[in-house]
Amino acid sequence: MQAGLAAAGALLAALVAVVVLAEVDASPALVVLPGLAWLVFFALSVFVLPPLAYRRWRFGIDDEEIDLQRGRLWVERVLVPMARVQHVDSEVGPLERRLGLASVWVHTASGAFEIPALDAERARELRVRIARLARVSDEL
Amino acid sequence: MSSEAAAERLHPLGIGLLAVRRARAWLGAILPALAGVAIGVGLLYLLGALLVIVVVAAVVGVLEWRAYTFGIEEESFVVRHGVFSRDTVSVPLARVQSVDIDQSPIARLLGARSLTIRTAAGSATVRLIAVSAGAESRLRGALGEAGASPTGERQSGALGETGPSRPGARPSGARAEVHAPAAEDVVRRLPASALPLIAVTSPRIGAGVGVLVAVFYRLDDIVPGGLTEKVAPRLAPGSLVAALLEIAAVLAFALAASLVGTTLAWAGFRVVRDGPRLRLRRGLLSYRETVVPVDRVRAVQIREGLVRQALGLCSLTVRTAGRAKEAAQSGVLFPLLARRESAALVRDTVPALELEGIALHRPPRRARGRALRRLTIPAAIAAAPPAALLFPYGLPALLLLPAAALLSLARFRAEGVGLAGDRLAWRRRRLARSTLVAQARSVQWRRVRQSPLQRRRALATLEVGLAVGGVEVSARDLDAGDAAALARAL
Repeated sequence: MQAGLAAAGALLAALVAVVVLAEVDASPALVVLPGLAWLVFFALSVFVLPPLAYRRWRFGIDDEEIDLQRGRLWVERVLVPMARVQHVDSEVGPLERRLGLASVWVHTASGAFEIPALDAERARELRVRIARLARVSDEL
Repeated sequence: MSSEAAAERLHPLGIGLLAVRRARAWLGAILPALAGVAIGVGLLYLLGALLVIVVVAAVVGVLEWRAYTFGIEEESFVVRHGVFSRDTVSVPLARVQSVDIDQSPIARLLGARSLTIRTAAGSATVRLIAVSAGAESRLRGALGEAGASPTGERQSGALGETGPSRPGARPSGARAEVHAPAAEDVVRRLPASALPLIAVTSPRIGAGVGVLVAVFYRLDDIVPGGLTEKVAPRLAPGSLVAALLEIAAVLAFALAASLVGTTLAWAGFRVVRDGPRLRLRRGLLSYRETVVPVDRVRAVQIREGLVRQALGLCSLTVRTAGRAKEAAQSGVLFPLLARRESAALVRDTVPALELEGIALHRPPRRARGRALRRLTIPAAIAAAPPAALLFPYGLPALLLLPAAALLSLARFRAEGVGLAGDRLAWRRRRLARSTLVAQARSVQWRRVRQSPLQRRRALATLEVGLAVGGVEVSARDLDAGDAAALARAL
């Protein structure tokens, strides 16, 4: 979603630049080339990258561990043992609420990880399940 | 034990400190009004107003002091305070990570000290601004024994074992070397002869030189007539000699400043084993001590600055759970010792974190080019404009390139991460080389990252989140298989 917002912002900036450059009678290449570049960037970040990211996003939860995999070009895999989970919470933004989605955040003693854009009911189940599995006393 | 028995008051010095704190806050708030009084009505009224403030602050100080109690109740350290609204803070003893004891020269004269109790939850959880020696030793005694022995026995044992024997408690400020009680189990003491070495090899000295150079060049403006112009030609006619003399003078000043700072901070440093606790004690005028239960230590860090590494020297720090950055500064296990002696010291103090015997997984040779480019390309970008634009004079900027290349190779050689049993080791270099040995059970999560370029060479970056003072282990460009295997094994 951040990428989408950034792309929208970039498009706006490009439009402004085009108008300004047209006003000062710059050469057409100066107007058209950056505009094209912005368009390509916009198309990539809205139509190509999010579906890719969506396809790549995987998570697995068993009794022992939470396993998150994500990334488009840069890929990463995160493993969090259940015993290290301090607490779980979920987050619903206005847009997510409309779409019936929710994100789950898993907090450890050093940092938190997001499982984004789950079906709201599924997010609730997941939250409860992780919280139950994580109910192991763990001393820091 | 009952809560009455546990309730203790702050040292009477606390009245003064509380009153000063109040008076300061009020003065800050009404300073403009006071200025108005002084100008409009007269100086005498101003003095009157100040007197009223001081008296009221003193009264409030006494009231707050009377309302402030602390003690140990049922395995918890409890503080109650507040004149109007009563606050109660309770910290389970099993959650206390470390206690810092500070004594300013004034507090030392009066036999008071301040205690800072730290937990994993973050920065200082509870701070007692002034307590007596007896209260300190009772609190200290209760530390680190939770679960080790039955409650009652622990309390009495703590009382009996730690008498008023601490040298810092003596009003005269007597040195430990004179009055050290036989029972004190000093693991290692910093010899006074090491102080100059700390001062010379301290990174602080660089900053000192910087400040002094700045001051030196302002001297002409400050001293009427221009000191350097007056003195330098008389001392040495050649301008080069004068410049060298200036440099020598700056260095001498920086050294002296560093030596004074080092002596104040580290004189009398010693590591003391006190039952299940480590006590790290230091300070010449102000006395400072960090008390850490040994089983709370989650990691040991060895730092070798460039100069120190060349001399085979290092410094050691112990770290506990929690996010506090400032707590890391108070956990210095030893400020300077020979690298080859560090393993023995750790064995004597924190045996669970034995430094040796952990094989490091290092980045493979095919990652060397990447490591080299990581610093030299930015260096080239930074050096190119001055070298090209200020042609003959800008050329020295190109020296940045070999420096960057050397540093990046040194970093490449240092990098590595390893696992042996329940210990995790991580070595890396920025300028100084740092080696961390942590308990594997403080690992919170593991992450393996791979960029497209890394994938082409079958490399990956391993990151490990530790519940230790904000440490994030990260080993770049390991073999992808190694990284995945380590992530699974941790």
